[in-house]
Amino acid sequence: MRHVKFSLKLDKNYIVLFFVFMKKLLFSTLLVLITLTTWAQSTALRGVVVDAKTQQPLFNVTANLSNTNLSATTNQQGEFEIANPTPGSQVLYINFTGYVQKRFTLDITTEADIDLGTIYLEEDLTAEQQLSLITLTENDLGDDNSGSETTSGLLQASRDPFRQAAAFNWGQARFRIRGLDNEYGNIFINGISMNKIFDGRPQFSNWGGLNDATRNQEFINGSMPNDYTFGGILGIQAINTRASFMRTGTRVSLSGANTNYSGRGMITYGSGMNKNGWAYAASASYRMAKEGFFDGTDYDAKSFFLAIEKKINSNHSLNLSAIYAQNSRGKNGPNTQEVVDLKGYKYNSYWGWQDGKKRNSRDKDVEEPIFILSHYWDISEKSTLNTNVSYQFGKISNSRLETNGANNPDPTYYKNLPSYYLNFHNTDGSSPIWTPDFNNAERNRQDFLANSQINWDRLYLQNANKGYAVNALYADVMQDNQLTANTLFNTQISNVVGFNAGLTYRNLRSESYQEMLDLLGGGYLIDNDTFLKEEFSASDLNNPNRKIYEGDKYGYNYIMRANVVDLFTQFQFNFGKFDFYLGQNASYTEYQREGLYRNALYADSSFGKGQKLSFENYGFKGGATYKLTGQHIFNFNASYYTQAPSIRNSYSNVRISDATVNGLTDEKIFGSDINYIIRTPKLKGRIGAYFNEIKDATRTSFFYADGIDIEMDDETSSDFVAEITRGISKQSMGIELGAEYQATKTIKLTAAANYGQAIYSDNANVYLNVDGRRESGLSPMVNYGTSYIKNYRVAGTPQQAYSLGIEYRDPNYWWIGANANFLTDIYLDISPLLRTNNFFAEPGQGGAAFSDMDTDTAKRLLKQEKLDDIFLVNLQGGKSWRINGKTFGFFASVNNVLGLEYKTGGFEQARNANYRELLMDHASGTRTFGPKYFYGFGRTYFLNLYINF
Amino acid sequence: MKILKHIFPIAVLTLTGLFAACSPEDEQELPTYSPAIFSDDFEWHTKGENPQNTWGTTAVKGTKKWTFATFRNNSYLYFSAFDNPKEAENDTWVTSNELDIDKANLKRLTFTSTQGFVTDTLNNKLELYVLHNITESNADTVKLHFRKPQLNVPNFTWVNSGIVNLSQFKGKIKIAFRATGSGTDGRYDGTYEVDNIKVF
Repeated sequence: MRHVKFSLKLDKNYIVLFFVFMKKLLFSTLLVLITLTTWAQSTALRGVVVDAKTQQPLFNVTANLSNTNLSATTNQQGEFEIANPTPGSQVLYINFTGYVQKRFTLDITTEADIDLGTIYLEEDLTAEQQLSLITLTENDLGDDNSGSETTSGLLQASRDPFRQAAAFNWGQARFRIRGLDNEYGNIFINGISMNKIFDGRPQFSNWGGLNDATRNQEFINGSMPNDYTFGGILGIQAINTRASFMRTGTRVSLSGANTNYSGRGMITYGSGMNKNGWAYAASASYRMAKEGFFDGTDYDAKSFFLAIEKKINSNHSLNLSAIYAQNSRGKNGPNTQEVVDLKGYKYNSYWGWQDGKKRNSRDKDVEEPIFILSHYWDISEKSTLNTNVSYQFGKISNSRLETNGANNPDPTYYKNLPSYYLNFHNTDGSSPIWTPDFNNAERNRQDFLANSQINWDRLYLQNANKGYAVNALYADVMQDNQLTANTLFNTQISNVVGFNAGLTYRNLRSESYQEMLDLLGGGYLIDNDTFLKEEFSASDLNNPNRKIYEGDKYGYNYIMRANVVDLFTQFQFNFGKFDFYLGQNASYTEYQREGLYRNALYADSSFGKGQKLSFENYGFKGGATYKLTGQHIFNFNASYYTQAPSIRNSYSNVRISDATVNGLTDEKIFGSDINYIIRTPKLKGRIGAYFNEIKDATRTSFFYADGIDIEMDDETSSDFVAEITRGISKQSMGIELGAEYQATKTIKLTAAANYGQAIYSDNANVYLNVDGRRESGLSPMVNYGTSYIKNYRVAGTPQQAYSLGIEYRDPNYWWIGANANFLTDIYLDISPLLRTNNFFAEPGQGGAAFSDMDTDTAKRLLKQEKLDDIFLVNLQGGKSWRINGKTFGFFASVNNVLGLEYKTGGFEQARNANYRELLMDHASGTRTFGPKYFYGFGRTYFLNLYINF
Repeated sequence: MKILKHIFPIAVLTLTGLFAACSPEDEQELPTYSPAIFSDDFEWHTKGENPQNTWGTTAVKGTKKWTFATFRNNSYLYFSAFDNPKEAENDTWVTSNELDIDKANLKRLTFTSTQGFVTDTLNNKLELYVLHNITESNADTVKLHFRKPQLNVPNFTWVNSGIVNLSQFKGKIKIAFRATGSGTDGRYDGTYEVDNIKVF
């Protein structure tokens, strides 16, 4: 049987035409509708919401009528009122973060008001789960040498059972919703986007540890409409830190864990709004670990939060939120199978003993305070205008060891491992002959086992002997100053039509440089690249042969300036049974690099202001919801937009040159989904199918290339090269299912499944930027042509995931839950360079294939590795007590109860990029340049004790 | 409402069916490779086996022709004006059998060559030709450039020809090497060797 091909081809013109037509149609219907709906008689739906335990009124609780887009929030007294509710049989939902949702089925008429009286909301004990989540999002894994990063998706604890499973149960296995990286989603704090202009991704550490202060969150799936932005295809997470929205009272919590950190203390206070219209909230937390789950990963994070709000009058409020999160942690790196087999999966080569302490050479320090001033203006009962100005500054630095003429200090350096000798070949003849050296392999094995950590003492000694630093610890620093201002307008034109518009301006000045942290006892270091010939080695010709001391900038130094303006509009139409929406956006992006050093390799393109890059982008989206009844809902969403390449993906080697990526283009993104939602009193669930296609994506990665044939005269020993893959097409599609069944009053069953497929839907193009070629007067760019990656899997997430869970909630305020999860179709990230025609070309033979190649072996060598399936069992539980007006409680969870060891991802090393080299690397069965893997946590626990008063 | 009961399973089955039908792995492609459609490293001569290709040799001037020679277990095409019998003028060709250049992916030729004691590359030269439009009695010849063995390096140093582009040719062609020299004039009595010929 032939394979059925399921694909969707986009024709931009048709889409544009479609939207232009829809817009025209809409504006005319809009006018009619406005006039039609103004005569409605005035009735109201009212209620007062209080905390079931404390009887205190709850402020800012949302009440919304599900079949309409009518909603209201409670005031300080807990009261809400929805004016002119749509007549008919309606369901009213009362939602408040941290509380169990309430629903009322109502028969609404145009005749009389409905007063629901006092509504009691019960605290949701399971909400404490959210606290254990952030540990994962902050720990984005990455290897500095490769573009491969295992970033987590947007992990969120929304009420959607699928999203809950994705966050709580699958997050630890690095599951990404719809296979999408978090650059396709948006995170907002008080309406300000937290996605960095540099790479489009949020930096979770910027607000890490402030779980209490950031618990007011709103989640939007996919491209569904929201109040903040046009949005990506993954959805948005909007955090609200308004002082008056914070839980009133004090909360103190202490936690223990064995993940990234081992202990955490947090204290949060919310004043509530006083009579004079002032509210303030403050929070502080400290997290630490001498050693986290993986060896040598220390952790130290202090976070502070302050918000002050002033209600000027009934229409105007001002809020200032300040977040200061300082985070310093020792990283752990991915390892090859050989290293894991020798040292276990917790092994981390980045640290070494110094003065009886474990010192990690790769620290990540993040310190970027955020200040957000917001103005909330209720222009009328139906219209609001929210204006925010934010300023964020500070730096992210990543440390690393460097050597100038000394041995590579990395204990896992390939020549230190047994496989180096096991894969020895005699390459004198026309075909290589395997000549393993078992004696030396055994000696390497013993040496490695005895010296498997960084030897700091030796580094100091070498420096002392030389009198200057041949070894040094430096940091790659990125120092940002970002100003963001936006204004968001929201109006309910009539019961039928809602309108949103938002205008955002972002200005970034980001300085990047190398900073000398520690000369390790060496007196100084000369700012030259010793791997290059003398006349090309100067980092800065304006200041040649500079002696570098601790704290000095050196190596590279440049400023990147970016301006982004974004406008979006959105119309939402509601006809009771049938809703639809349309959104549009247009944006302008501009980047400019200014080099502060004149690098000898790029004397004419490294110093001073470079060319301005600018991009104009647009997007359209739309969707419809059909409510068969209040319990059975269908919806459809589609979105198409173009996106400027991020700064990271715009330059070939931004550190020392202004050269941009060849053929720089916008990314084109299409996303669509169709859902069926069921909301019966007992069964809540959603099943949906999605289809996403991303075209013209670019990926840059950097690594040290040993022995890549780049047609150079000499065999370059170690060259820092950039691999640029252009024209990447990615397609993801699948089915999502999430369901929650209330079996009895106390027992709830949950099920979730993701059956997806994320692939590269077309071949791409690869070139390398090899600085060393400048020495021979050659262009640094080496074009490798087509990379045959079509139909390989996009890595970084399990493509299939299943979860079953059971939860028991006792009326006496305790609960316990368990779930079992199976994740499969997890693939290794492929190297595009390996899959170019270069793979078969014998070096120096003008492109002729290896004479001894055969295609079956080639297929085997290029087959994408599928990682082992993951099976995870997790347990959670908690209890709370009310004593003398105070609430005490605890939450505990054990993840991966069975303690199974599992890989969450990994990547192929780009060395040995041809058939013969790769075959030789496989000779002994223990690969020297085999893939590097990331591992998940083994059995971990999290325990949180808290008191609210 | 009956349909509602079945909507869930129907949706699941349809969508699962769509996916199960295609496995992307089956449709992956290998990078293109360019195997040699013609190659000769003359190792058959070293081993005393039958020739890989039929090389025809003719002498246009003099009687001496190209031969196969072996040195330190490596065999190659060899012509020396210096060897006996010494003749006043030599001009000799060695021509491969026919090959179909359209079968080559890149239409490229590479080989290696050396010179020994050559001092004048005008009267004692090595040339590369391609014969095309071949009929029983005739053929067009095109002289092509390649990286020649250098004179002021040690004798018999192998030099890579670089990429010789054959994309101008279609159909059947032959590869030919031509050497000239003089056994009686000490200025022109050098030697040429050719090895590792590859068309791909």
